[in-house]
Parts: sequence; structure tokens; C-alpha cells
Amino acid sequence: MRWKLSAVSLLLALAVTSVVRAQEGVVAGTVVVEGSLRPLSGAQVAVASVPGKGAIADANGRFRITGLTAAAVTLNVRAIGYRQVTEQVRVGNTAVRILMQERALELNAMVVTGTAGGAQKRELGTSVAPVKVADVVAQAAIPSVEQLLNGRAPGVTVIQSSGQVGAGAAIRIRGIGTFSLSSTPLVYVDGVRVDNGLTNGVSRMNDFDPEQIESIEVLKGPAAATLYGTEAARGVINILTKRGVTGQTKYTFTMKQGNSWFQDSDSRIPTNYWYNPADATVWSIHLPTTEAARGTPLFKNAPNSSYSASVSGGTGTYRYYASGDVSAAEGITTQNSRTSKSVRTNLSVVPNNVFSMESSVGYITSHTNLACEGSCGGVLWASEYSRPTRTLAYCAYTNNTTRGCGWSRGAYTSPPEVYNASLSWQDLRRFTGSLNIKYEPFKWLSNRILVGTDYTLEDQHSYTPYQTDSVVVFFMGTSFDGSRGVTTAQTTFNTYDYSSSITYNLRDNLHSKTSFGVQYYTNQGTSVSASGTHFPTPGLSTITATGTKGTPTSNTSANNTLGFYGQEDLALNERLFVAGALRIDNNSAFGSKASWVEYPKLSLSWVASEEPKVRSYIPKVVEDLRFRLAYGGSGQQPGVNTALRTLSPVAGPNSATVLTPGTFGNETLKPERVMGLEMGFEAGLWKDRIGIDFTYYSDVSHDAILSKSVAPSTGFGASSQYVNAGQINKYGVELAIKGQVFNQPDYSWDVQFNIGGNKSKIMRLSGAATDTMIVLGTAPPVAHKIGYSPYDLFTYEVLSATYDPATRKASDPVCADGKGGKMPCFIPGTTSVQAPLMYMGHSIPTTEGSVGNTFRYKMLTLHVLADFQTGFRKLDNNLRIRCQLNASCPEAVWPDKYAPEVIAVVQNSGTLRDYFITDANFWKLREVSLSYDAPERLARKYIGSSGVSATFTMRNLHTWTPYHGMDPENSLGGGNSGIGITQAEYPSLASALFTIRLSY
Amino acid sequence: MTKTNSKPRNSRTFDRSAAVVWRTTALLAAAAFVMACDTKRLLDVQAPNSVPATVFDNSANAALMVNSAIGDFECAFGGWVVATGIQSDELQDATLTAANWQLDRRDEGFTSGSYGTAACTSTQAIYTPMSTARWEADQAVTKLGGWTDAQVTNRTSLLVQANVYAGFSYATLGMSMCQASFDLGPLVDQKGMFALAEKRFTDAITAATGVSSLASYLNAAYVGRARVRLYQHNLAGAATDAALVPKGFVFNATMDAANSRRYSHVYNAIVQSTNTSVEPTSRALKTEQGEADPRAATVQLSGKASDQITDKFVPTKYNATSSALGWVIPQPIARYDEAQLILAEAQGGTSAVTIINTLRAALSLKPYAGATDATSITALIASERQRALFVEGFRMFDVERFGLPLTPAAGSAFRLGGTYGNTVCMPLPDVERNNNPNIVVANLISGIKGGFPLP
Repeated sequence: MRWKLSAVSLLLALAVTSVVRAQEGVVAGTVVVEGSLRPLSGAQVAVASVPGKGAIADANGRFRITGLTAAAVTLNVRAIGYRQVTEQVRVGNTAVRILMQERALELNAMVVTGTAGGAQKRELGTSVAPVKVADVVAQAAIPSVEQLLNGRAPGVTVIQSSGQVGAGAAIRIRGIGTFSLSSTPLVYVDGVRVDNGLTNGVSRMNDFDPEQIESIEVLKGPAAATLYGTEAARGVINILTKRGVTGQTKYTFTMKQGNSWFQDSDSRIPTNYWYNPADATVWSIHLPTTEAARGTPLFKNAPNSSYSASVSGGTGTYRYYASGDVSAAEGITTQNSRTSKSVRTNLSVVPNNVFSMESSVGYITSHTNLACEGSCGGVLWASEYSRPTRTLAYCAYTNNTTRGCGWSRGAYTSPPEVYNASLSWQDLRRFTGSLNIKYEPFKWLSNRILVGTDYTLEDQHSYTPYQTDSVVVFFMGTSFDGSRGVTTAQTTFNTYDYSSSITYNLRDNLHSKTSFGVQYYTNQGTSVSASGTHFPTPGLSTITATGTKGTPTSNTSANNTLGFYGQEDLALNERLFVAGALRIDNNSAFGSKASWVEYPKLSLSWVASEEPKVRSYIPKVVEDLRFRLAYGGSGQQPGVNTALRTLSPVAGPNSATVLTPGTFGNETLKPERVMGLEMGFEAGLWKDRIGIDFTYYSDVSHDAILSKSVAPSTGFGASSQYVNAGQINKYGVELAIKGQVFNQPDYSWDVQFNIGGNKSKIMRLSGAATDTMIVLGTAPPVAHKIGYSPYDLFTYEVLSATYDPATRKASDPVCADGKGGKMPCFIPGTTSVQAPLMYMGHSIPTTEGSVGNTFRYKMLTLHVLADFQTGFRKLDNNLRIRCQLNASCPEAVWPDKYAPEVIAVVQNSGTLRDYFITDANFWKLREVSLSYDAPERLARKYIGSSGVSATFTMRNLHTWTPYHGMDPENSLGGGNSGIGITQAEYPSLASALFTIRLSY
Repeated sequence: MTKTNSKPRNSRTFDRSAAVVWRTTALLAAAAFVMACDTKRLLDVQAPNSVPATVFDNSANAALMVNSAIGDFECAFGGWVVATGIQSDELQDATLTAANWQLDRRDEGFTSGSYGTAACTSTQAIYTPMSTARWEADQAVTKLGGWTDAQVTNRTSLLVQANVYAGFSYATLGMSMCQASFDLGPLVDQKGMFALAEKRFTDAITAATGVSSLASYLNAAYVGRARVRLYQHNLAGAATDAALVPKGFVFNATMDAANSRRYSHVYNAIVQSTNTSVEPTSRALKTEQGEADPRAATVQLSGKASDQITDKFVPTKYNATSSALGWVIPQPIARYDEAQLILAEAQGGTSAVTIINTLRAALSLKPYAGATDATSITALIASERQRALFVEGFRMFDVERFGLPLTPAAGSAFRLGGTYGNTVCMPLPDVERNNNPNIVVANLISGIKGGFPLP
């Protein structure tokens, strides 16, 4: 027995000794990103004094190096996109924490370009705007993909339409270069073209969960997007989801809880007035106050929460990433809310150096309740345009005993409960998947085949139950007994993409790469709608239960694109890069007489700082310097079936189906062909502590497509015709600066600034005279005019008028005559305008940018981001309606306090509008976040996790703007025309969100 | 300077000849693929929602073509009755949509207004839907004229129908538009439109005469031709045609509850959509004897119209107890009473009084007993037409051609802002002017009362 105990003791002693020795020969720790303090996987940690000794950080950023004999070693830590860190550590320290600073300029980063395998940034002649999403979301809670882009990529403008939960925005890259086609960029997720639309105000791009995205790359301009072909003239947004990395399995759990609210709602909803001409009394109402006083406040705090979990890891042969997310958010009114669930599984299989395969699968469901706003009505409508004459007090004062008088309690047109009685929601199910196979049979040959699909199923519902409340019944009139409608729409985008690259060394220092590929995209959409009105009793909710069924409809649309490209890249000494490419495309929407379209490209990139003969001329402070130049084209296809002349089936006499003129068509219709020149430079200063990226671009949109009215005498007057109508020139500059003001072990301060400005000018419009103007509408009053930007604002400019205090009326308005002089606005004795329309400004922002600051003190990080949009104006239709329609604005009630020309507009019925168009420039304090990243030992001790961080994020805290409307960044609708107007939309909401992340 | 993780290019060593062969082969393969692939098939997509316009080049579709023209006319006509009613003193707009007020307010020079572009289901539609119907009917006339009886079953019947609807399309455009254009042609004034209508009616009469199965179209063509002859001051011709119309004849735009295009537009606009009501001055029209005229009777419905301001009044003849009954109320296009009133106007004097009193007697209304001078008779006929043909599409042109006072008067305040204008016929809308290269802008008429000679 004794010898057994001795043997055990000996073994234990040996074991303990070996452990102690190992402990003594070990260095271990974590590599994290400075600022976000996110673990950095894949970082190479090398021991400087021992060649070959080192480790690669795993998914948790952890590394461990054993077998060290010295008392201390020097670690060199490297990762693409980050500055090398050299740090001396004591052997035996197992809690080393390496802070990696992002390089201000990284020329070796790989970017997605459309060719097999992508390309290094140094090779490109164009600017690519990357957004490191994983870092951004680790630093602050970002609610949507669109908000990830907002202010983070120069030249990319995110124009919010509404502050409702779930509402989407319009994204414009480098302004607008079309008359009538969409200006929305193409969106790809892991190489698959996806639905980028806006359905009933809900953006399909925001379906994707920011927590599951690794990065977003924005290709701007035709030269950058040439290889994407005939639909890419508006730019390309490549969303790359997270993938597993080799190493231990990593688990992360993220919990978010917070609130949104309508900041300063009481002061932003106006008081409305009424001047009673009978006795000169002035009445007023402020609906938020009166409704709150009766216990039915208009707006509420809106809680939101989200829970997500992910697991990732892998070996050298396979890697995996899986994630799930559940979120719920309420809006500021009972009618608005959104819940969503999403899962994603990404797998990578790399059995050998020749073959690799990556799959990417995501599934999303969501339920979005949307409240009425804008022209639809709703609580904002009711309160913005409230009227004192619709109160019980006023009815009593005027002895108006008509039934219903005052029942709206001053709300316009109906009290809030009437709007709240109707429901509208969207249910979504979406699958996005791709399989990407790479095959490199030789080192000089690589092939890639990508097949993917994006399938979206949307159910759009509307439901008004049978009403029994007497007030609601009164206001709903004959519609009180309810209605029900459902539209089911399916959209499928299929991507088939093959590309191949052959590398070839012409000389030792001159390398060639020949690439070619073929892409085939199909897009199919189907929808089925049914509706019914009039339920016989309360409690029913189906269309079957309605008494009057609407005519069901079904629609199908399809659009296919086939394109080929070839590209030749030459690299001299790995610092001078020349590329030439040609893309040819055809699309099913082209006219029958239109043929294949070619888009050429030529690009040049020169890393001057690596050129020995030039290096001596470059100041030492400039560490990296690259110049780039590119010229190329891409296109924008017309809409589906717009080239065809068609007849549409409709109901006819005797229950027969007959045909009515549909589309007028245009058999010569071609795509818009945009050719762009882009040049710029990137510089890394002071050991890459400061990075500068500057770009100048100039695009010419040939054959710009205009949706033109058709003369009714043709018989097709109800339709419009798409024609290649003219030319739009666009130019601009973009500047991005990233810098580190200081960096000490315990604290640092990073700054980033970016700005993009663009100008566009219509050079030709239908080949007509220079004064040609195509008026697109009056709300907002936008038009296309030669010499101006598309969608600029034009209206009559009222210069003076005559005011009579006795009648309180302004008359005889005098307008600008367009020649520097004045003229009566109207034909004498009539209300017909004779003055010309005058330019009032741009309706689309021409300058946008942001300033971001990140301060770190030990484990605390404070991040502040402010963004701005300038150079544009808007029609404040809220004020116009209050003044011109309701006479309830102060200008209408106290006309003697305002200039006569203002009163002439206010008292006009709607033709004169210039007073309501004002500057909409704004700065917005977009994000303020405070993060604490706990040391691993504390995380392990108290929570048992390898990492824990807490972040408190506040958004949309303040807006600086001269705009007197509700919110200058919101607009009525998502199209180009609707950007220049605000009318009863929900403003962008302020929010506070607390986030906890745990990792294991 | 640090380069991290960049893949050295020259690590991709290669067999130069293999690369050349491979590259050449690949390029040839790609070219062969492009050549061999039926790329057209890859780009072909179906458009199952619509039909190529060439479908009407096929004589087998002749009946479909004529029915399509009728369908478009009936929808256009229903909308046109409402829109011209709003423009005149029969109906009023009851929405809070400012763009709709222009028509009601008789704004001057609003050539960009929705009267020029609105769809037939709108309450504002005058020009575009009727132009569509006219084009379809004329297209049918042309194509049927080029086909033979062997190619098309019932070709004569179809040709008569196409001519009748083409005639009424021209006539209604002439009764509301100061000027119009056809097939991207030059400006045509009201008299020109009536002349074109007369030609279509004459062709219909010629083809239908003696064919008993086409009697209804024949009588409709008589009423139509009488109308446009009257408007062209061909009183004898108008009287001749009007006298041929049998008592009780009515030619309707058929309506049904299948679809909003097929609804009774007046019923739907007032009772269902509540976007329209009867003008206050027309809610209880009376004869000169002070008797309420049952032909122009109205009913007040409960509640307010959609603007929550306007009381809901509907002409009794367009009212119903349910939507199922209301939507199928037919819209008269031409009928015996109109023919009689044309006859009265063409003959004038005591003959006119006799005709009018006969019509009144059927309704137990007191006969006219006033003066019979020309001015009095014209006033009587205008008044009688206002009531007898109430909300049937005649009032707007009657106001113009008789030079009647505008109600409410020009310059008086419009209830939702602005003042009433002097427009009596609609000027050519911008949508035609800007997209038709054959329009001479200098020849455009404003439509303002007194600004141009009456037709």
C-alpha cells in the first residue's frame, strides 16, 4: 500500500512540476481591437527571438504560446487592417492583452470586386468604402443596415422617410443621375443579388441583422461597378456576413434592452389657431396637451429588446458560424411595432489547397405593424393639423348643434381612436442562401462558381374591424362595418455567377492576371391580392366574412440579365497596377431593337510610396501614398416590360373581360449608360496614425431615361413612356480622414471625419431647347430643367404684395419674372399664374458627412458620432396645410405681423408655395455610446465567461437645423420626388439602449 | 512599412505554355459558349399580365376589339358625367384634396389639372379616358373597314357599334373640351369635334338602317347626330333626326357591380366614396311654376361627405338602398327626352312649348305658360334641360353654349379657399400639349368665358 501511495505522490509531484514548468514557459492572452475592444480573431502572434514560435488568435481573440524558456519575450502581433504591435511580456503571463489599432490606411486588404477571389485594395483604380460592421456594432447599438451606412461612407446618403419602427430609408450614392429610374444601389449578400426594395415603407435591406454582418463594402460610381453590369450605375453594396475562424468554439450572447421616444413632442407638434371673423376672437388648440389631459396621450415610450446568440469555430478543414436573433420593438403609437427572428448558418469547407466551398444560409421572419402617416392620415396628421373649430367648446360657442360637431376633440380629420381602429401590417419570410465554390487546379488558375437565391414572401394585411363605438362609427361613415385586405407577394432573385482568373508572369517583376466571367440574374415577382368590405357583425376578420368582395388580382413580373466580362490586370513591381475590362450585357427589359450593351473600364493604381526613385521625394511623414485613376461605365436598366406596347385586361360589358390600352412601350429603349472618371489618392501619415482618402469623380449619364407622359390622343394617355431622353453630368469629391490624436496604454482618442459633396446638371433633355422644363409635381414642386440638377425645386417666387389691414387680406402679389425683374403673379383679374417658375434649390442633399470621436480610458470607451446633410431644401407641407388649407397657422391668424408677400402666399389656395420651402440642412447627434469591456479575469471570476462587455447607446439626441418642420431628414415616401417634402411623418426617434455581450 | 498577409504574386509559379494554352482555350470556350447559347431564350420573360397590342391585328379578335372600345367608353362616360357635373353647377367636390378643387372652382388656365390626366374611375376625368375610348372605337372602325364579312362574323353590327361609340366619344369631348387632338394630330375645336362625331353617326345610320337587330344603335345614332347637328346650328338636320327617335327610347352605358370601372359613377362618387355631393343650388330645382321637378329631385343622406364638411345629397335617380343596387344604375347616353328637347330647341316658339309641356304632363307638372319670344324660349329650354337631363352630362356645355350665368358667380369665394373662375370649357391639357408635336401653342384657347367665340 505504501509503495502505491509513494508512486501516486511521485506522479503527482511530476505532474505538478511539469505544470509549473509549462506555466513558466507560457505566454497567453487576448488580442482585441482598440476602441470597440472586440476580440480579433486570426491575428498572428509571433515571438520575435524564436523564429517559428507563435500562435494565431482564435475566435475569442485568445492565443497561447508554450515552450518558452526566457524570462521575457517580445511579441510581434500582426493582422490585416491593423498596425503591427510589438510588446514585451513576461513569460508566465497568461493574461496578456494586446490592443490592435486599426491602420488608418490599409492597402493590402482584400475587397470584393466581381472577379474570382477579389483583389487587394492597392490594385484598384477606384475608391471602395468599407464599413467594419463587427467593430461598429461592438461599439454602439445600431438598429439597421441602413444606419450602419449612415455617416460611415463618404458619398453615401441615407435619407430617412419616417421614424416609424421598421420604416426604411432611401439610399443614394453620389447623388442622383437619372430622370425617372430608381436611384437605389444594387445590394449583394455574400455574392447573391438580393431584393433592395421598399415595400409599404419597409426596407428589405433592413431585414438583415447587423449582428450577423462582418463588413459592408460600397462600390461607388460606374468605374468601380463596371463588372456588375447593366444595373450597377447607382453603385453596389456588398454585405458580407460573419464566418467562422479556425480555433476553439466561441459562443457569444448579446442582450439589448431599451426605449425609444418622441423627443420634445410637445414643442414639435404645433399649436393651431382659429380667428373667428364674427367676433375677432382667436381660438387655439394643442392636441398633445388636450389629449394627455383627458388621459389619452398621443404618444408613448417605446420599449425594445433583442437577444442573439452565435457559435463559431472550426479547424483547418472546416469552419462554421451560426447565429440566431430575436427582437421586438414598439413604436411611439400603438399602431407601430415590429418583431423579428433570424437565423444564419455559414459553413466553409477547405479540404485542400485546390478546392474550397462556402455556404451561406439565412432565414428571416418579421411582423411589422405600420401606422398611418403622411397622406394616409394618422395621429401625426390629426395633431399637426388640429383645428380649434372642431372642439366641443367652439361648437358650443357658435351654437353649432349639428350631430358630431366637436367629436374629433380638435383633431384633424378624425380623433385618434378612429385612426387607431384600422390595422396594417406586413409579415415577412425570407430566405437568402448561396453556395460559393472555388477551384484552383493550378496556382495560376482560379475558378469560382457562385449560385444563390434570395426568396421573399411578404403578406401585406389591412384590417378594420366592425366598429361599435359611436364616435368611431360616426367618423367612419359607411365604412364603419369594417374591411379586410391581403396582398401576398413573392420575389425571387437568382444569381448564377462564374468567374475565372489566370495569373501569368510576363517578367519577374511584371505579373498579369486575366479574368473573365459570366453572370446570369433572374428576378421574378408574383402577387395576389384580395379584399372585402362590410362585415355583418362585430368579431369577424376574414375576407370571406365581408359582404362585398373586391376584385381579386394577381400579377407576375420577370426580368433577366445576362452579362459577360473580361479583364486584364498588369502589376509592375507590385506597385503599379493597370487594368482594362469590358463588360457586355443584355436584359429582357431592353427594347426589341436595342441590342447588347458594352461597358469598358480602364484603371490605374500606383503605390508611389513604395517606388524607390520616388520615395525620397515624399516627405517622411507620409508613410504610404497611393494614386489611383479609373475610367469606366455601367448602366441602369429600364423597368420590367416598359419597352412593350401592351393592352391590359379589364372588366367589360356583359361580364366579359375586355382590353384597355396598357403601356405605350418603346421598341428602341436602351439602358442608361453611365461613364465615369474617378481619381484620387490615399495617404498614410505619421506611421499610419492618420489616413487620408480623397476622391474626385465625374460621371456622365448618357441616354438618361425619362418616364414621359403620353399624349392622350394616342389612346395610351393613361400610361407613360420610358424614353432615352437626355444627359446628366455629375461630379463631386469625397474625403475621409481617420486619425489617432493620441494613444497611450491606458487611454486613446481616435477621430474620423468624412464628407462627400456632389453636383449634378442636366445637360440635355429630350433634345429640346435650353429652357425646357419637365414639371414633376407640386408637392413637392420638383422639376427637371436643363442646367439644373434632377429633381430641383421650382415654384413661383413672390416678392411683394399689398396688404389691407381692414380686410386682413393680401392681394396683388408680385412675382419674380425670371429676368431679374418683377411682374404680377397672376393674369389681372384672374387666378391664373403668368409668372415663371423660379429655382428654389436642390431637393436632394448635395453634401453629407460625419464626425466621429472615440475616447478610450482603460476598459471604458466613449464613442460620439454626429452626421450632417446640407445643400438642400424642403417643402414643409405641414405648415402649408395649416396655413393655406386650415388658416390655423400664426401667419393666417395674425397677418399684420408678417410681411405682405408672406400673407399673399398663406392666403393663396395652393398655387403659391415659396414661403413653405426652406433650408433643410441639419447636423444630428446620431450616436453616443459608452462601453465597458471587463477584463477576462473578472469575467471569468464573476460570470464564468471569457469576455463580457456592457454598452449604453443613445441615438438621435439632438438636431441642429434651420428647418422649421418636424424633422429635416424625414420625407414623404421613398422615391426621388418625395424627398423634397415632409408631411405628417413620424420623426426619427430618440432612443437609449443597454447592451450586454457575453462570450465563451 | 509593414505588409501583412499579402499573398506574393510570384508564388504563383506556372508553366508558361500551359497558361497560354489554358487562357486561349478558356477564351475560345467562353466565346463558343456565347455563340452556342441561346441567349435570347435566357432573356425571354413572360408578361402574363398583359397582351401585346398587336392582338387587334387579328380579325378573329374583332368582337373583343369592339367590346373593349365599349368598355372603355362606358367607364369614361360615367366619369365624364361626374366630372362635368362638378365643373358645372350640378355637383360639388367634397374632398380635402386641393387638386380636386380646381375643377369645382372653375380655375382658369389650370392646364396641368387632373381633368386632363385622371383615370375613368376618378371624379375628375374628362380628357384622357374619353380620348382612349375614342381611339379604340376609331381603331375598330378602321380595322373593321379593312376586313371582309368573310373574315369577321357580324362585321356590320360591329362596325355600327364602333361608329356609334366613336361618335359619342367625339361628341362628349366636344361638349367639354374647348379643343382636342386625335392621333397626335393638330388642334380640333368644338365644332370640329361635332363634325367628326356627325360623320361617325352618319356612317352608323347608313349601315344600320333597315337592320332590325340594330335598331337600338340606329336610334342612338339619331339622337347623337341630332345633338351634334344642333350644336353645329344645323337646326333642320337636328330636328329631322330627333323626330325619328321613338318614345321611351334610352341608350345606356351599362353598369354593374363587378369592378369600379363598371360601377355607376354618380352613385359611387356620392353614396359610396362620398367624394362628391350635389351643389347646394341644385338640390331642389324647380320649374318656373315653382314646382319641384321630380326629374332633378335629390335625397339627403345621413352624415357628411369625406371632407366631413359637406352634406351628402344624391340625385334621387342615382340613389339606392344598397351598393349592389346602386352600382348597377345605368347611365343614359342618349334618350328620347333629349331628342324631344333637341326638337323643341330646333323648332323653337310654340312648338317648343308644346313639346316641353308634353314631357311635363307625363310627370304631372304644370305646363309652361310664359312668353314665347326667342329669348324666353331659349331660357325655358335651358332650364328644362337642366332639370330633365339632370346629372347626365349636358349642363356644362349648355352653360357654355347658352351663355348662362355661372353659378356660383365668378369671383365669389370658394368654400375651401380661393375664388370661382370663369372657365366654361376645358383647355387642352398640358399632357397633350407637351407630348404632341403637332400642337401649335399660339392657337390654344383658354376656355375662359368671353375669351373666345362660342361654338
